[in-house]
Amino acid sequence: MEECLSSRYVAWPLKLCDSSPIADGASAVILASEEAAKKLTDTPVWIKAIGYANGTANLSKRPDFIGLEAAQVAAKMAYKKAGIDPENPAKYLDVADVHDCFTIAEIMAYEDLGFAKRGGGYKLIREGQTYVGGLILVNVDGGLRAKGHLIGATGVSMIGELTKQLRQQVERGRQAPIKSGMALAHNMGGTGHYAFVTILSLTA
Amino acid sequence: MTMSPASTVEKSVVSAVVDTLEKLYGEPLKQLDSLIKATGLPVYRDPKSGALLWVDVRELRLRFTLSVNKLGKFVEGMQRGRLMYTQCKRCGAKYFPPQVDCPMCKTSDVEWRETSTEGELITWTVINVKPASFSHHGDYVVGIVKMPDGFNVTAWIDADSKALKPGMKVRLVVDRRPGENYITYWFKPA
Repeated sequence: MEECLSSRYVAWPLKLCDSSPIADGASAVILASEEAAKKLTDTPVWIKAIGYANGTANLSKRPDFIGLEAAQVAAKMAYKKAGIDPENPAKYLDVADVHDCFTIAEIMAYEDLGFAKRGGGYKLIREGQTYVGGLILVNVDGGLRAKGHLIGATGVSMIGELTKQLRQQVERGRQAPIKSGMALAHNMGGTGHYAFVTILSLTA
Repeated sequence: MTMSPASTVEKSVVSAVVDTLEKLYGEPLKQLDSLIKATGLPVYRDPKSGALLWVDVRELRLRFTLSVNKLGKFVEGMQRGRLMYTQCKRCGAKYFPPQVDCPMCKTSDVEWRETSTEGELITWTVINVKPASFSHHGDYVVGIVKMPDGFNVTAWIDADSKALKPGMKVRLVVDRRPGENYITYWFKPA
């Protein structure tokens, strides 16, 4: 913590340790039709919904700087398809992986996804609401800042992690209690001007 | 950050870029030379991971040339110390940076207008880690300014970042920026 807070500024107020390290890495999933999936495994994980949206890349054309419109639109689309109440999505989800390319991006993701009201995202961390026993488990794989940002492979690595979480195949210390059997991946690119929100489920 | 032209030795943008690249790549290139002389190959072991690395001796130089053919009025405006934007004659949409094609109503009939010279600072950051092409500058402030014309402008803010406040008035400057010595635009506290 001390080391993070004393790291040098990259773009004030963000410091080196607020930023995810760009890393080499690879990830893979087996994507199959319903029929093929049933032949391949007894424990398939289903794509319940994918929401996606674009926004402007030009910061001066954005209505505000406290959230990402593309992520908000993508979340709404995914929640609608998956039958999730956008006012209380955390209730439907066991675990989420969000695109924490910078510390502030994780807090904005909480708010864009509706886990917290606008301006209340920081409280989730402060109150431990994103840990086991809290409102919703987020980034128990360490997120982009701990595991590194693999750029092209980051999104798929989230799907891989959440698939293992739903199948209860991760190390005991960071296994989410699986109750509803649904998980959320929040991935974005560029300067946050495109976003994908994917809902995975144990049931088709 | 200060951008006072008087305190800066003016040099051409080309020599500024060459100096920057020399600083960045000069030493590694010398090391590459010694490596090839000593071992016969441009190959070394990464001190951290021990992995074998090949350093390509060929160098890729990339410089973009972009058409601003439709933006002649913007270029002329800058030369006269003015910042220009466009407004669609049909639907009234305003564009800064200016563009002559209106995606709102799909026509290409715009009026060129001069921006106001004062705006309100909405937000800013300090660029502490610079891209190579700006590494000859000290830390600089980039802000977003709300203009009374009805759009925002992203630009450098020539001020001590500690003196900045959201909502403060800032004044537009169109001039040669020390460092590159070509005409651009930025803001300073009004």
